[in-house]
Amino acid sequence: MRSLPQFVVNRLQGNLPSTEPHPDPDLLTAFAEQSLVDRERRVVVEHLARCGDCRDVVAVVSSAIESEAETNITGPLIGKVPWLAWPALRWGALAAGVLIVASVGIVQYGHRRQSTMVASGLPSNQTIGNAQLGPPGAAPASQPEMPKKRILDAHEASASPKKLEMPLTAIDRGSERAPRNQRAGVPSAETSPSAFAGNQGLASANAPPPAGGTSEMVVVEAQSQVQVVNTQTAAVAQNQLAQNRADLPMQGRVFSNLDVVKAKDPVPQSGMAQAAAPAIPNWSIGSGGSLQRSYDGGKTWEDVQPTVNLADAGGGIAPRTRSAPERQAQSDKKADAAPIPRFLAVATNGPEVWAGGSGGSLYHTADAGDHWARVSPSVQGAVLTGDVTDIQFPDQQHGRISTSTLELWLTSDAGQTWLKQPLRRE
Amino acid sequence: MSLQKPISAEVQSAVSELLEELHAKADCEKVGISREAFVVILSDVATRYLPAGAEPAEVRTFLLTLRVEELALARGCAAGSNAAWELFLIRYREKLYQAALRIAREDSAARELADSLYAELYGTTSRDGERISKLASFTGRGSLEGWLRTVLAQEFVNRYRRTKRLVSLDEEGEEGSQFAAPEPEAAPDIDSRLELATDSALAALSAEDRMVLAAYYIDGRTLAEIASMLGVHESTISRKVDKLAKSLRKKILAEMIGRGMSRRQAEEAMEADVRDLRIDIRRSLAQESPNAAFSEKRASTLPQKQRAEAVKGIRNR
Repeated sequence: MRSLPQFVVNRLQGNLPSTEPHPDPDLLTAFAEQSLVDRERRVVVEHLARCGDCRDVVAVVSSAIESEAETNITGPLIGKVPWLAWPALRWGALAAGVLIVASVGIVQYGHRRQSTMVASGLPSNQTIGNAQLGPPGAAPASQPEMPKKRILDAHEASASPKKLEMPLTAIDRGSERAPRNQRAGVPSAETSPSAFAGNQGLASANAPPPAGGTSEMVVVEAQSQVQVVNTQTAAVAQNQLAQNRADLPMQGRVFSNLDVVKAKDPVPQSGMAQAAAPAIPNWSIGSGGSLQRSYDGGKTWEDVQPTVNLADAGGGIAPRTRSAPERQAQSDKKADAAPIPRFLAVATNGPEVWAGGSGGSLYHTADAGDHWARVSPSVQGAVLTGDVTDIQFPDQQHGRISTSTLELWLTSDAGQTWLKQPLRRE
Repeated sequence: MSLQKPISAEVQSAVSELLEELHAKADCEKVGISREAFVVILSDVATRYLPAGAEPAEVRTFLLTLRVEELALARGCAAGSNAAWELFLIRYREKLYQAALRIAREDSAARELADSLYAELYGTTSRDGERISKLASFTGRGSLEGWLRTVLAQEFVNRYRRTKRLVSLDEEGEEGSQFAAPEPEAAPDIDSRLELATDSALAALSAEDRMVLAAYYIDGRTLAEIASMLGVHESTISRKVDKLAKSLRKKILAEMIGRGMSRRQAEEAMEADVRDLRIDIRRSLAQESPNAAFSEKRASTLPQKQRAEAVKGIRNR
């Protein structure tokens, strides 16, 4: 893949210096420690491009610094959170982060599913009433009347009682096994090609009481659904129902399909799908200083321009971490947005990406680059103005940014507040 | 220290302004550096690195970013202060040996390397009987520990090159001339226009890009090593190397076409070189051995990894 013809290498080699003096050990050390100012750094890099001996020296010194940084330096630099330097805990934090994201996804999912259950629970309540207890008396019954009928029709046409057992038990275990429940919902939905397929598919499972031995079980389970409904007030149930119905025409249309898509293909389709299975791209800086991302493990790269995709320019969805006033502030800033900066550094943490470059430009995204916010660190009137040369975010909250003006900007709250220090490695 | 450049008024005033602060911060008393001596040291260092017309603010920033404590310690040692030496040995003796071991990768060589540096640090006797310590040249731009490591690495490179040169001469006697110093004219049949085109394509790159290419293709450094040299992420370097390799090919082709070759001629000129390369690979396969901290690649020719990649890449075209 990375081939370079021999003659190119030869010409590259042909540039070795002859009489030029080497930079003194102090400059080489300071270069390896990233503490030279731009002017000096340029001189050293120019020399290193042509001098293999000095490249060897810098390589050795940098690798020593690097391995030390892992044990000693990171702690003091991050300052207030030295425990983060302990690798086991860092992994622990990562694992916890993944767990939190996953549980948020599940809770959200469960929340939606619960409202589905309420919808399905009510008709089943009524079905029991019809089948065994006599005429219906419950107030909410009037609303799902129509869909229920349609589903009953659909089932009379095609469904057999045995088929229905599976969705029923799936509902009961639903809270632990949401995906299975979803999948179970799909086959029954297929039997009713109406617009209500998804949500009402579950209801339909409860609706027609099957005959024989299975019917008792159905009743028991249906009653447990009733319990769920009863714990809520009638008003809430009404609201939920109304909401569900309002959602139905749009959501229901794709619901069954959507589930299949979600199961097979983790491409984000909605906010919820994204929380459950985000596609995390790789990030890089192009040689021209452009910010790039790859969704296929680095085979193809696309340029990303945070200056264009600022929070309010995209689909109107702001990054999750930003509050309304900040968004306002950002859109104000966008008006006098600087020309496209030359990016020099990028740090990623799942979908969280920080990118920075020339002229104090610093951008943050919480959704893998679809929406960006410009961040302008400042503390007591001092503003980050130098080129951002290095960004490190070991976790979402704690970051450190080095600049060409020998400043170190630290945050421990995901960029809300900053602390400025002179750039020194102790 | 070099005192060729006159000390500017800006440096003088900034040094006297910050003297109290820096003198205290550096703990100069403990290592036997007087205020007067410290003024000389600071002015000297600032004059050495700052451009002639440096603004007062720039001088101030420069002085404030110096590692004055380590600077004072090193200069205290150089001046022969026992207290300074004690402190130096406590802090750096073990580190110096560790660093030498990292570089030489072998205990006895590491000890030898560290010992020879100690001798230099302690001071070699100059003509008029005065000891001159290598620590007198430390300027506090980077850490003292990093500086020691750099000095060790430089010493190692020098020795290594010396022995390598001897080995090369021996091998040359037996095997012919392909292990001679890496003079690039390995392929005389290549059209000179190809070389010109290559040179101008390379010259158009930034120094950093050329440095990355040289470190990767000539020194055989890994992407991670190059990334830590430049203080960036490994993926940044990976992208850069890929992009540069690709764009160089295109640029060279375009250059040759610009110099009056047809596209086919230009591509053939690049192909011709590959055939030579294959013969070279067979020869060098047996010769390459895994290296220690330092690249042997320049001393022989190309790392076999890159040669193999080069051939593969070109075949795939």
